Parts: sequence; C-alpha cells; structure tokens
Amino acid sequence: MLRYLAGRLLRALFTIFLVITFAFFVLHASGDPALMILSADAPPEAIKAFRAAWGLDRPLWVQYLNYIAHALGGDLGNSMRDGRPAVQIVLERVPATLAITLPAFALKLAIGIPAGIYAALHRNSLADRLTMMLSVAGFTVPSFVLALVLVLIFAVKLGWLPSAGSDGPASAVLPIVTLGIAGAAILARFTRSAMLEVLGQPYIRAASAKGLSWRRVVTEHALPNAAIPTTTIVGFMVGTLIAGAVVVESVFAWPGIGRLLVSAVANRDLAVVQVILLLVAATMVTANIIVDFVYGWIDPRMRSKGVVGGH
Amino acid sequence: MTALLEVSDLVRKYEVRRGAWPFGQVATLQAVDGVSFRLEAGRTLGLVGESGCGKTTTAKLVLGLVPITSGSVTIAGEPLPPIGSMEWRAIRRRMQMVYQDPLGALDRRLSVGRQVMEPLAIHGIGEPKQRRDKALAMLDAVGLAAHHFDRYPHELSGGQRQRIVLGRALILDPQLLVCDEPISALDVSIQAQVVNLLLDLQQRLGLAYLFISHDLRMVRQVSHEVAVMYLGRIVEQGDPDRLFAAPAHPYTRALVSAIPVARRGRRQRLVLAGEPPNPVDRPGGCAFHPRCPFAVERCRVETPALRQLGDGRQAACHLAEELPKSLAA
Amino acid sequence: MSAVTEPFPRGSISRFFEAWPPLTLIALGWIALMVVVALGADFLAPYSFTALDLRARLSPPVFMGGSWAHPLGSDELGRDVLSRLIMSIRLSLLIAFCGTLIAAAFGTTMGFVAAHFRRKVEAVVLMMIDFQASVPFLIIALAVLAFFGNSLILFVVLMGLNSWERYARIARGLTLSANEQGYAAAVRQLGASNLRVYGLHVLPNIASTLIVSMTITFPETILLESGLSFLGLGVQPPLSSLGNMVGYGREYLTRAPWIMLCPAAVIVLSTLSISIVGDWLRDRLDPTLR
Repeated sequence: MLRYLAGRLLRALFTIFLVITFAFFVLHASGDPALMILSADAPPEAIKAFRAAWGLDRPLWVQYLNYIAHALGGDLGNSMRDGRPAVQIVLERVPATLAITLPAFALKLAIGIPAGIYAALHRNSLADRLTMMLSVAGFTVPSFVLALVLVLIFAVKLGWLPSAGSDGPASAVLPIVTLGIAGAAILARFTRSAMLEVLGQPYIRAASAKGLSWRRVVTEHALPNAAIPTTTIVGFMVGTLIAGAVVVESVFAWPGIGRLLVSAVANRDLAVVQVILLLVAATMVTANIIVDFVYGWIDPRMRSKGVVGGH
Repeated sequence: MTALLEVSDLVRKYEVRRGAWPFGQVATLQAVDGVSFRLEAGRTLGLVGESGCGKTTTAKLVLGLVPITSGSVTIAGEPLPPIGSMEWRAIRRRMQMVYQDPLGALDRRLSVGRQVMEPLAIHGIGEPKQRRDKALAMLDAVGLAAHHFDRYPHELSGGQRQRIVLGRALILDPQLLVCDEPISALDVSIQAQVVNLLLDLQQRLGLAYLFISHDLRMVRQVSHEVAVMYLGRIVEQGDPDRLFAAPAHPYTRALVSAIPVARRGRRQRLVLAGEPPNPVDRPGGCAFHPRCPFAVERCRVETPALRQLGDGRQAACHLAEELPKSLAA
Repeated sequence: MSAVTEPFPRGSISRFFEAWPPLTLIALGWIALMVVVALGADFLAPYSFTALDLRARLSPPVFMGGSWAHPLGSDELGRDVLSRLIMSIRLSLLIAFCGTLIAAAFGTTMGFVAAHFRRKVEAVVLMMIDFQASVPFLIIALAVLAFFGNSLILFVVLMGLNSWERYARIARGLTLSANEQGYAAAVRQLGASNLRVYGLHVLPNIASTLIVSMTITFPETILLESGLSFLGLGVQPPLSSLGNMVGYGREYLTRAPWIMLCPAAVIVLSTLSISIVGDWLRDRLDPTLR
C-alpha cells in the first residue's frame, strides 16, 4: 500500500509540475513576461532588474528552470496594482474564502449525502422524485443566477439579510447557502446513483437472504461500498472549492480569492493569476492524495498485496 | 512438397514491468518460446493448453498480427511480409481468423450480409452486384438462409453469428484458417453443429486449420495432429488418438486424466501440485518441473528438447520413455 | 366475446407517450424554439438591440404593468429587453454550439490517436487529459483570458477546450476495446486500411456515446460562457450574450429585476431542456449505458 501511495504522490507532484510548466509557456506565449508582470509603464530600471533576476535574456530552458526555482521559493512576482508580492496578496485572502467555502462544504455533505441515501433507499417514492427534480437545479442553474435570486428574495423583498459586503456573520449566510445548495444537489444525485448501483449488486440480496435485517444490510454492506465512489466525488468537490467561490464571491462582493482572481484577470495582473492557478492546482492535487489515502484505508482491495506483476 | 504453413523456432517476447510505474523492475515475458511445426493443406493442427500458455499468441504470430521477435513463419514457402504493408494486406486473402467471441468480432451497426461482403470491397474484387451474389452464396455454404442477409448481429443466435464470422473469413478463399477457441462461447448443442460445418468446409474447400482450444475432446475430434503447449513451448505433439490414449509428457497425462469420463470404475487422476505459474517467472530447466510428480534433478537444470519418440510422436521430457505407459482405468 | 369499441384507441396514445415522455416533448419544444429564435433573430427582434428609447427607460414587462411596446420591459437605456434577449440567445447558442463541436472533434481525434499509436503518444495524450481534469476549467479559462486578453475567436476556442478530455477518454476506451478483441481488429485483419477501420466502423459505433456526451457538454458550455460573461470577462459589449445581460441586470436588481430575470430564466430552461433530452437520448440509444 505504501508503494501505491508513493506512486500517487509522484503523480501528484508531476501534475503540479505540469501546471507550472503550463503557466510558464502561456506566460511566454502571450508576450514579454517582464512587461506583462510589471506593466508597460514601469520604470526601465525596474524592468531591467526584473529581467536580470529572472534571466529573461537567457535561453528558454534556463528561464524555465529559473521560473521553477522562483516558484518553489514562493516568488512569482509582485502584483501590478500595489507592488506587493503576489503570494502575500493571495494568502491574505485565503481566510475569507475559507470562511464561506468550508461551511458551504459542510452544508453540502450534511444535506447532499443523506438526501441521496434516502432517495436511493426509497426509490420511486415521492421523496425520491422530489429530490431528483430539485437536484437537477444543481447543474442547470448557474451559481450567479441562484445567488441573485436568493438576493432578490431574501435581501430585496424580505430584507432579512444583507445583499453584499462582508461585515458581520449575517452577510456570510447567503454566500454559504448559495455555494452549499448547488453542491448539495449534485452530491445528492451522485450519492443516490452510487447507492442504487450498490443496492443492485447480488451480494446485497445475498446478505438479506441470509436473514440480516434490512437496516443491517444497509449499514454494514451497502453504505461502506457506496462510500468508495462517493469519496471520489467529495474529493473532487474539495479540489474545486476555489473555482466554485469565484462567481459567488463576485456576486456578494466577498473579499476572497475568487473575487481577487476576477479582478486580477480584468486588470491582467499576471503575477496574482499565476499564484492563484498554482494554489488551485495544489489544492486539487492534495485533495486527490487525501482521497487516495482514504481509498487505501477503506477499500480492502487496495490493502492486499499488489497485483501479480505485469500483464 | 512444401507445407502450406511452416513455423520454425518462433519466439515472441514482451517487456513487462512488475508493479506500477515507476516502481518494479522490467522483466521479460516469453509468451512463445521456440515453437516449430508444419501444417499441410487440408489438414488440421490442434493446439491445446491452459490459459496463458501462448496458443493465442502463436496464432497471432502465424497470421502476422503481432511482430515476431525471432524465428520464422513461411506461407507456401514465402516469409510473412512486414505488418501493415501492402503485401501484408494482400496476404490476408490467404489466411484468416475465426474468433472466440463472434458478437465482439462483428460490427453491431451493420447488417451481417454487408459484413460478409466487406472483404470483397476491401480487396476490390468484383462489382457490387457480384459481391452481393457471392455473399449470398457464402451464407448458403455456411448453412444460413438468404433472409439472414439483412439481419443484425444481435438478432442472430451465437451459432449463427459464428457462421457469419466463418463466412466472412472464407469469402476470400483463404487456404489457412486459424480458429481461436471458435466454439467455447457457444451452447454445447450448437458446438457440434459448428464443428461439423468446419469439417465439412475443410473437405469441400481443402482448407488447413490451426485449431486452438482448451477443450480436449473437441480437439481430438477435429485434428489430424495435436500439439500441447505449456508456458510458450510445445511439450508434446502427435497423432490425436495415440496422444490421448497414451500421453507421454506428464503435463499431457494430467490434462487427459482430467477429462471427465462417463464410465464406471475410477481412472487414475493425476493431480498437479502447485499453481499455474506466472509466465514472467519462468522456472529454470524444464518449465513444468515444479508441478511435475515425476521430476528429477535433471529436470531442474536442463530444458528438454522436443524429440521423437518411437511411434511418430514427439515429447519434450527427459523421462518420456521411462514413465508408465498409460493411465487408463 | 363481444368486441367493445372504444371512442378512441387508448393503446396507441399511451404507447406514444411511452416512447416520447411529455417532459421530453416539452424540452424538445423549448430547444426547437431556441433554435428558431437563434436562426431568425434578425427577423424576430422588434427593435435593434442597441436602439435607445430614453423615454421608456426601465419600463416593466407586460405582465407586470408595462405596455406591449416592450413586452419584456426595457433596461436603463431604454433598450428593449426582448430584442436584446433574442440576440443574446443567438450569440450564446452559437458559442456553445461551436464550442461543443470543437471539443468533440478535438477530443475524439485525440482519443483515436492515443488508442491507435499507443506507448509514447498515448502517454502524452493521457498526460494532457490528466492535466485538463486536474484543474477546474473555469480557472484555466480565467488564466488564459488573463494572459491573452479577450477576443471573440479566442473565447470560442477556449469554450471548445472545455471538456474535450471527456470525449478523448471515451474515444480512447471504446477504440481500445474495439482494437483489442473486437470488430476493429477483425476488419483490420481482413486487410482494411486504417481510414476504413476508423471511418466506417469505429466512428459510427461510438457516435451515440459521443452524442450523449455532447448533450452534457453543451449545457456546461452555456453555463461557462454565461458565467464568464457575467463576470465581465467573456463576451464584451456591444455584443450581448445571456451572461452579460444578467451582469448588467444585476445593478438594477432592486428597481428592475426583469432585466436580469429574463435571460436567467432562458439559461436555466435551456440547460434543463438539453439535460432532459440528453437523458432520454441515452436511454433510447443504448440502454446498457449508464
């Protein structure tokens, strides 16, 4: 199992490498990096210093290595707007994003998984059909529409909650709910189909034919097996936390990474964009590794000795 | 007279990595390790062995579907052309393959008639009208009716599908047909029908068959000669009746003794010790020695060559002459 | 037994609805409507989408007390919401359509290439697929937009790179199994050229799976495009797409919510319809597919 994880770790590092390479090539393909990161009207000495520090007059592969060295050292340039290191700017905003994405994540799990399980256990009942219909909203209603509709109802018409800003916990409610509902819907749908697939397996019938109470069949056989694919999708959701926050933070003017990304793109503040890109990749990759760990732990097939060598 | 098919010291090696990349060392898998035989026109060579012994790989090598590592294959005196070349495509007309899974071998979106016609279109033979006529004639030859022409594969039974695959293979008038487990996926009652069809076609058209199977009784019925393979090598070869009545090689004895017999009285079962080995971890010396109940020191060290025994049979065993003659009940 | 004559043959009607569930019919109807609107946008729009009518600014739609002059209301500059909506439908659908086609063509080709050449080429393609799957496409899109700026063509190509890996995976998987033991190997063994094998055999067989994937990619592309346009990073003015209409409408949420609600409703109904039709197609084309 250790081998399996080590293999996965290597693959994860490789992916991050790929992302860094991608950023590097896109950066170079789109124009002169010095001008792009420092902005066209930076003083010529600053441009010169930047060039020297990043070795922009050296061959491409040297620049590439330089780039990686800088990236690993945490230096990806300074923000065009206020000149501070991009990494610092991004990290400052992380807590704000976590403040809404973590509760939203909890909400997704708390609503989505039980709903999916219930729907699967009571297939074709009213509850099941209702869950399915509502969950379709998860992938047909864009998050900004959901956000604006919630604002319209709760902030404008009813006036219970503020429509934007980040002062006080009340203003976090709508963003969290928006993020949570969409994810819960998708998770419910997915959990339901994972459960249904497991419930259709012969071993479930065998277990209940043995005389086990239905409750025990579900808790001891169905749920653990359905947990495996569900873990995958939950891991995927963790990896996409930031991406999900982009639109929601913009709608609610919430000062997190998502909103930072949007303004950085609009201003073409490339240093900040690069940092966020790497951060997202790192999050995704970490989430995958954690999922792989969890797999190795809960899926006994992984625990046994590796496959007979070769094909 | 040159044999239709002549295979000499055929070897096929694969490079395999144990465990997932990048861990695990690279090992060599000898799928086929020095196989030689001859096949005359109009005759059938049966190739038997357990899964993983290399029989399917041998078939693919003979047909030129897989590159040869070393050794040679000659068809009517000429060596196989390189894979994918124009000559290779042309030589398809001489030899064809029949598969284990007829449903998988057929395109489910096309009518079976069109699929039987397709080889003619590929090789540019005849006008479209003539092709259709030829296909209908072929359907008749394999025992199907004209109205089957427009059916789709999933609308036919397993036996009918295998007939279609046969028809498609035969429409180019090949001289050699390689049958890779052609009946193992069919119901037992249908198996006999298809086998009879194969025998009938062989008589009428003078086809040579390389018949691969793990079903010993079937092989005995259809073959003029049988070769038993184990871990990529032929361990025994000879006349089917004699081979099954008095097997020389210990492995063949075990196989034969495992054939269920509807007879009173017990036959002495030869049960093999150990597990079927991993082809990557070939045992040294005689590959069979870890499981052989008669193995001696020499078997561990020296690989036995396939040699002639008295009665026209060949076996690759150091002890072939000394072992008790038969295990009949 | 006496034959009972029914006033109308119930059997055939319920059979009709079995093959064509009502929900699917409605969904198909909506899609047809959208296509008609997109194609005939120039004829259907009562006003030019940039025409100003300053005396009728922010007038509500007909069902909220407005007049028929602007059936769906008007925005802050007096521009007719219905006309803008029609033009936006056309642009958004066009972008989503082109994007989906590009993704399908590119992805399928990559899948074929990977399955056909194997080893190194396949490893490279798999790496690309992994990369695409490892970072949410929204982020990749934003990064590319940041680096390259925004032009409509770049944007459409970017939409075309959304989800290509899904097609590549499908094409590769199905081609591999066809090649290994299946019909592709059989036909190739008969002497067929690669063109024949891929064009006449593999492609028609995987087409239904690809089409079902397209019904998933299409709504995703609409959502992606409208999201980016909403943020102001997608379709730029003076062009109008469903996304940026919602973006503009956001400022007038309190006073004139219809500016935002109309395009939002169209987005939701369109993606919903395509998903419903996609589910139905999947069931119809191959019941063994998940």
